[in-house]
Amino acid sequence: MSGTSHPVFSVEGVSKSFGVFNALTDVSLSVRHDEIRAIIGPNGAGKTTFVNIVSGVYRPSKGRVILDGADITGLPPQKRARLGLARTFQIASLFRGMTIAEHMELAVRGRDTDRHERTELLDRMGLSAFADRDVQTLSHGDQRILEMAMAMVLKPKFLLLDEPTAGMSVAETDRMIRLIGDRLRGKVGVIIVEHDMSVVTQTSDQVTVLAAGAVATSGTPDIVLRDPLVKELYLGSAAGH
Amino acid sequence: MRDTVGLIVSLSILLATCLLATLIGEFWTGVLARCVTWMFLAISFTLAYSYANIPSVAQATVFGAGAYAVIWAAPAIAGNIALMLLASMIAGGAVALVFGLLVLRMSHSGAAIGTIILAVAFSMLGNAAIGLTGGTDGLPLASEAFHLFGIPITAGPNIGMLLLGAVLLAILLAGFWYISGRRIWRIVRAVQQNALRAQVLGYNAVAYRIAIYVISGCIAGLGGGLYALVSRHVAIETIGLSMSLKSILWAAVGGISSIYGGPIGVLAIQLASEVLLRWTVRVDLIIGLMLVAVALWLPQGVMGLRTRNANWISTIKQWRRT
Repeated sequence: MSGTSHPVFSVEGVSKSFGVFNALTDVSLSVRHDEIRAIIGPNGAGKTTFVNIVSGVYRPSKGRVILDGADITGLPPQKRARLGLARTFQIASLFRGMTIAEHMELAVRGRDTDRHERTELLDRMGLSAFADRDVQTLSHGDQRILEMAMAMVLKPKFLLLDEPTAGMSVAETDRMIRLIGDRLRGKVGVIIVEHDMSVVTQTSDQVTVLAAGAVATSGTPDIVLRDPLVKELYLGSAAGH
Repeated sequence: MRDTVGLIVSLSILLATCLLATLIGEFWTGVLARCVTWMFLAISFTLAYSYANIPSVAQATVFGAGAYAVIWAAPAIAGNIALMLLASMIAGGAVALVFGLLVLRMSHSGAAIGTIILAVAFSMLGNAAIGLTGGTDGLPLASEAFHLFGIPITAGPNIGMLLLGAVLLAILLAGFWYISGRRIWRIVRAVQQNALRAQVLGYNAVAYRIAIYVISGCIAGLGGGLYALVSRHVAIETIGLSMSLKSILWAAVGGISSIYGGPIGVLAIQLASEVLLRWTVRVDLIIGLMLVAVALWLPQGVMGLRTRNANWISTIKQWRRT
């Protein structure tokens, strides 16, 4: 990874309160245009609030969200999407009664994205054979892969993956890890919010640990995951669950 | 996804209604002509509820706006029915736009309560503004030489008005069938199913929902305009809460998730009411019991029977195979 490349996405001093409860406190981080950063943390660490602030569902109480140099703090999700921010959801969020092809058509928003390019993307992701199938008939893994294809089809500047392997079998998880490695690594700025440590270590360049709504530590996966504080915070808490 | 079977069923019912009207007396022709105007109201509720995600308990207010627009516009536009119906659609759409902007950011149940408040408020305002609405006595349709693109038409509960309503409804249903196969309708369905997901794909969910609600208002307004022409009179009860509740019942009986169900619901309830009235005064009680039965055993309405039958058939086939 190039250490000099500019951040494509950053949050600066972001805080979010719900009444008296501080869900996030002064969180800052950035993602380069060719970097994959994982966000980990025990339950209640503020990951979901962070995802909602990044995608525009919540407006931060304090701080700024920057995409490719532009302040997008107050923008709604659809405007962020049009500026090049794509995301997937923790639970596959597809539309009932629509085919894969129709989902891809929705994802390109009527742009003249080459039909051949779309088919090729589905082909590379192993979905082209089912293009005319209703998405409800797809396996969970294929549904998650389709979500990924929808997020990637317009070549976003920045991609937010919310637990991309949640609910997947071992084989499906391996497929997703390969996909992230082949299709995203070094090509686009990505934040992965993930529970599965093997996914984090196999896909990410950097890891940020959230705890009690604040950044506990950051660094490369091998350093962060060996940190005693992280073991206590994350693995200790996970073991407790 | 186009529901061709739904279109064929609803158009067949409409055709049967028109044929029946030529065989029965004047009274029943009038009943059927009014039923056709209410079909627009039932469809508008389904559109608002199932596609704009606004459980509008104020659709009769929107319907009434269309009806009063025709009453008020009739003298000024010298009986030109096309212009009168255009005015009714604009009035319905404008009222829906105001209601939509007020309730759109509320939760689903919040929007239902919001529209109830709006319906009651407008009903009270209408009652207070007697000079404008005629209050409970209502206002008559001005006597004009009505015409549609030069063809003379007699306003009132007659076969001509029934056919006009049926033709407009058939165009509306066929138009919906066409649009439902287009990309724009997939966006509407996406917004309806998961607004946040659609937003993340770059679609302005609020704008799509308001647009669909305004279109539902135009449809209700058009129905109201036709109702004014059929009844030749509009009173404040036309915009009341009880009328809105009826529209919900029609849509529920026909099938709340399909706009093709509205015509079936209107005919089933209104014809049953008219027939029962000849034997008993407890019509509301009987209709109420029928509705409880529908809610218990036919929650998806008459149009939902198709899915249920399809499921049964596939279960039987599977059982035979095993």
